[in-house]
Amino acid sequence: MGILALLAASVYAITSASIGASRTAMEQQLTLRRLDAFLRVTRSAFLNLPSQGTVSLDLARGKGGEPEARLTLGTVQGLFGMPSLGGGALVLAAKPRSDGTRTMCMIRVPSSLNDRELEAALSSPGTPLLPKVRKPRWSFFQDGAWKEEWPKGSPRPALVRLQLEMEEIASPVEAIFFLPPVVPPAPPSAATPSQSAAPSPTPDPSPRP
Amino acid sequence: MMRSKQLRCAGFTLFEVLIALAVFMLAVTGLALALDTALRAALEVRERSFCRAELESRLAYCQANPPQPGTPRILEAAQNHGVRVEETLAPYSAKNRSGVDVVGLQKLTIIATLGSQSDRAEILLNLP
Repeated sequence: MGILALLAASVYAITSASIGASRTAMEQQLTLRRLDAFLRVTRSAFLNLPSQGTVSLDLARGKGGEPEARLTLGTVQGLFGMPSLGGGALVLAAKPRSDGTRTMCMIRVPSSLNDRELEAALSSPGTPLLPKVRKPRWSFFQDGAWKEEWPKGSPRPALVRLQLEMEEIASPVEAIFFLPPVVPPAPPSAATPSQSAAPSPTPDPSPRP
Repeated sequence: MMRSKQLRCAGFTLFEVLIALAVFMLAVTGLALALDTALRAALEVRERSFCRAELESRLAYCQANPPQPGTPRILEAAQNHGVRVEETLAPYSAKNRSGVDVVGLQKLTIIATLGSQSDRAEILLNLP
């Protein structure tokens, strides 16, 4: 009888440990997959930033009065796989959650909004991209140094860095995104009639991977 | 006499108990091995995923701020959230269609290592 009880107890212990370990591993896998997808879509958005696109960071107060970092990609037409906004903006905001963590969200803001409608749009939950994020921090690389502030009207930075922590990941996460530099247009040259008759080159509309 | 014979038939012999224990131990060992393999695979996926993400980040960084040619830039794991990164920039010679050497071509190599996983990227940069 004692042996039977020991066997039953060991079977129970092994099974419950297996289930617990499998659940933890699956949760970590899910978090990694979410993080990977978020980084991929954000990297693609920065790489496909049009030449007139702008980048700015502002710290605003959210609905509950908590500070909310908002990275704005301005004058964009099609990013994150979304259709054209007609020159509007896409905002990456870290919305606070009830459990103390934050959710990285994307908010689409059309260009022709008055201040009230703009604030309402920015206060909306938006499209959640990455939940359970702690301490998200954006920084911008220019002239060999990382800067924490990047107000509206600043030139486009060379790099954008996102640092954050996640519940299921022990070490902090850091991702650096490259922004294609804006090349000034070539000065107009005296073209021969045969050259001017040729079709003008158009930029490649296909997005970068 | 009859009663003692009946009792002897109702229980398990020591041999039967040992056989049952051996079968049980085999099953438990198999389960533990399967669990260990699954956890190792999850850890490997995690390390590979972090390695790849770090490689992409360093690739982006090096496009804006490449290392000095011939001098490797090394980020130790302790200072770089667990991932060791080695970046090298070396001159690369290639000719264009006219057979002329392309000026300013450099090969950037980045190696990211985390635990047992290592990932490597090589791209050509034009730095005139």
